[in-house]
Amino acid sequence: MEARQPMAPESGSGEQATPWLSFRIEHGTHPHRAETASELTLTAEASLSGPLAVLVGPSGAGKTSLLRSIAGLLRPRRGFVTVAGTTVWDSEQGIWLRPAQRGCGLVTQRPALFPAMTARDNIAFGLHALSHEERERRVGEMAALFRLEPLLSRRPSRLSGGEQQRVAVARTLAPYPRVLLLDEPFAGLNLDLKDAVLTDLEIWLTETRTPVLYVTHDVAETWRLGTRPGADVLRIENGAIVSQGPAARVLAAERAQLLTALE
Amino acid sequence: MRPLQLRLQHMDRQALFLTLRLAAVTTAILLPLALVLSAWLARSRSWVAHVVEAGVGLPLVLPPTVLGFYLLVLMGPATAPGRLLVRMVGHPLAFTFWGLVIGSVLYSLPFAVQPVLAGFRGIDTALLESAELLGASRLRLLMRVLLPGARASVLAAAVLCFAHTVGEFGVVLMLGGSIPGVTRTLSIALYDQVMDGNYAAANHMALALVAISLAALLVVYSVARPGARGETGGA
Repeated sequence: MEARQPMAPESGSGEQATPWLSFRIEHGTHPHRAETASELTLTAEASLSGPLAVLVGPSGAGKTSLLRSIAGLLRPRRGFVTVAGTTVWDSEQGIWLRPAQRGCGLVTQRPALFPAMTARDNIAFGLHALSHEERERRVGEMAALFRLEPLLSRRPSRLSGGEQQRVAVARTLAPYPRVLLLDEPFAGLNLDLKDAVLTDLEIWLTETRTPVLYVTHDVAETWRLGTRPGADVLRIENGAIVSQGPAARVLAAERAQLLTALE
Repeated sequence: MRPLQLRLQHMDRQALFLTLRLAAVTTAILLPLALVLSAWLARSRSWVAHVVEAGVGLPLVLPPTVLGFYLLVLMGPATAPGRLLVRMVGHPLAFTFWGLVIGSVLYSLPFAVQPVLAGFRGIDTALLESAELLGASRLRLLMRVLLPGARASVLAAAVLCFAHTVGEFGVVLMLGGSIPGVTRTLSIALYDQVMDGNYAAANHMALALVAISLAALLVVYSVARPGARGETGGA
């Protein structure tokens, strides 16, 4: 696997490294935009430097809105988003880059594969600007990484849920995004499948240096990923980031609760 | 063979072929136009889109003679656009085949746009967002995501357009009159036969129009039937 830019730090002594993602997002009901008509109010601010950040919070806390705002699918009322040193949105400066210009890859719970295309064409969808050879090379690289070679000629309807999600992750990674945003990507899978795809993702995290913001409501998943070297855990509640730090600190309450239950 | 020969004798074949040609040309022009317009309307939230969508639907509620009348005026030398058209084409477009094509395109516009728009709006927004995140251009989005996702709707639009043009009367009458081989379509020929008291010929032309319309509706309903192949939502 090639090293990709931007370089994320190998291990997360977050404070010293350059942040790969920083944002301040204020978002509420906006009179002119139907998409923002939810009651949720976001006032989230954070700066991420470690190779992996896990955003954990209950349903309705604003995780998805936050991720969509970072990716450019949602336009918040006020704030800024900086991806790998580039300001992709700043309400005060009037900067607004379209989703494709932000260098963010986003995978959500639903794979949303293009149903009329094969797995190969799905993976190659974001590579149209590249030469044929480079496109083939990237598809091959992703297929090998996610063990998709035998499935490349299949359409999504002939893939299992886990396979579809692997294709979705491969499709998102193929254009080499600068950062990867994962929004409960494996929530729809059963435990065995989830474990297999999480293992794939961990291998991928080891091999590539693209930083990841992983969103989940699952404390066990947060613990598994958040205890990796350099990982940061952020807790979101009612649209605000209420704590950020190592898993042991941010999840201290849950950990104590679990230990009490085991005693 | 005898009854068939009898029917063909009564049938104004020139009017039949002219009608089919007009419907084919109108459909060929309308379909790409409807695809582009619907792709924009499906995603746009601007008030301009609402106005355009309402304007597209106007022929559904207006008497065809209103549309025919305004087109007749617009194509004639009495208005600036009419004079420009005459200068560009060399002659007035009213009472010509291409004048009829313009009228048919406008008259059948809602029959092309509305099914396609409904098809596009039915496509999973997650697919559109994926395409957007992966940097798809508008053309690529249309050709690779919207069109394959709304195949049945596009087919229904094409068939409805064709059938609606075949059955057009008021616009043709206002814009084209009844010039044999030029503007005299089947519905006009039928009207002429009734006016002449020739009910047998009128009956055969009416039967031909019923047959074409029924065949078209059969196609539309078979592709739109639940479980029919064509529409693809999301994986």
